Amino acid sequence: MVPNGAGKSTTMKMLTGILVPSGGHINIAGRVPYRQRVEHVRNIGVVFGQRTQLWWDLPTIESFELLRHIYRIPERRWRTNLDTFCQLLDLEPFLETPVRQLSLGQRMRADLAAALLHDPAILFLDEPTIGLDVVARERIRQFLTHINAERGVTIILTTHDLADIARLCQRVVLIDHGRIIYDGALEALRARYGRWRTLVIDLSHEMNGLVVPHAEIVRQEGPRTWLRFDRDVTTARRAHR
Amino acid sequence: MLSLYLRLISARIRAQMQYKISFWLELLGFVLVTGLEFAVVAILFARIPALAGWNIAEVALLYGLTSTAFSLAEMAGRGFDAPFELMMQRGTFDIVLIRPLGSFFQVLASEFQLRRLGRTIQGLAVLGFAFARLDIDWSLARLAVLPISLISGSIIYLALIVIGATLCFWTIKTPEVINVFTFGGETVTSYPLSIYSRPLRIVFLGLVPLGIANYPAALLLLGRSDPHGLPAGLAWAAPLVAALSLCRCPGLLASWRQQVSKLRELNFR
Repeated sequence: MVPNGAGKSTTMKMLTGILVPSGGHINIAGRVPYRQRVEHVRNIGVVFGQRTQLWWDLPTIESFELLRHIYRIPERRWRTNLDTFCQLLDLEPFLETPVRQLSLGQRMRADLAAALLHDPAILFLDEPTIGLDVVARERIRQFLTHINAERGVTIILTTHDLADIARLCQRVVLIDHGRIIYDGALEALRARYGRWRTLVIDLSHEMNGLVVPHAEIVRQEGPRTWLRFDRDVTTARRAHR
Repeated sequence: MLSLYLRLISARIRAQMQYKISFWLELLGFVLVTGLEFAVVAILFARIPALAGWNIAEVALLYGLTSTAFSLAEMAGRGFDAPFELMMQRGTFDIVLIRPLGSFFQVLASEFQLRRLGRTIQGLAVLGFAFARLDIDWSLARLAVLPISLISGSIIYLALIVIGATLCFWTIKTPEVINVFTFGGETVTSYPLSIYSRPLRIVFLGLVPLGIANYPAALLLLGRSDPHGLPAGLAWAAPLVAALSLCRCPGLLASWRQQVSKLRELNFR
């Protein structure tokens, strides 16, 4: 989770072997992604939220079949996986629909299934819930929780959606300008960065010497005032009073 | 690999068939547009009875051979053209890189333009016209040289298209310069090579060896000899030259790989 343009997609592309890093080392499951691209990608699944890997003009099922041949998945294994994903992601109703006619939510579900048919050990998701409605998001989160718990698939995802993180992530890495600024559990992150709150209030007129219990005034511009407080000590409501 | 290739292009063809009307219109378009190409030749021959001793039917033979070969190459190889250019521009090349297959193979298998059959139809029709007008003394050698010429020709054209694509890495746009050799070569080899100056003959027999696929074969079919002393057995060298063009492909492949990795270092957007 990082702001736009901070290097999230680039990191994802380096981890998936698409881009070669200009410095540093990457090692995933004993392989260097950009050097052993083919061996590496056999072991991973990738979903780009903004781009599909499915065959646009063909019925969805055909993409799954082509992937079976591309990854040389044994037919029985493929069948079992497909049945499982059909059930979990409710793919059945649109298996025969051309990909170009799928809704964004349907397409994302199909893309997820496509990325997992070859039993990858690691699943990379670049903004998997982008543009989806609440129900669709929730369904995808449930699915990801399931495959993580039941199939032991490691999931690495980028997102702007805090709810995604709260629901899915045991480990959070914050990147800012290409540097890791935090690496740990979400709870500890909240405690560390989420403790201080800033409240901006607009007063009816400019006031000097304002005193608010448990909060300090950090900035004043005319009638507008910035208050900083520790959320473990007080709340915005109390500070406001 | 071949079965996967066939599977992927058949998927591509089924996808094209989703737009049936557009497909048939485009196919018809190719028949008509390429038909105009030969119409120009025919108009020329309405004015002059023969060109360097070649009449219209004999030139039609040359044209038919080169045009049919070109159409087959375009059908198989145009994935390296506009679709590849789009891949680079839209960044869908990412998808190629996350699959456990070579990128060259995937680009080749990503497109099969069946609509180019329009040119094939036209090329074969011109060939048909040539054979109807010519009185060829058919022998085993003359029968064999036909498929040899067509297959060698299409492989050489294909190699040219692929070279164009590798240039695309530098420019992100398919360089039009390669069309000088494909379309230009097609026009040049539509006429007997003997009419051209020496440098041009060298280019189209050696450097861009499109001429070797159809001209010596036509000489053999017509029982003619080249006024500049081209060896008569040259028709049988065409497969060798085509194989050499393909053999350039490992080198080409190496440079392709190099370009791909350079691209991956540059973060291509």
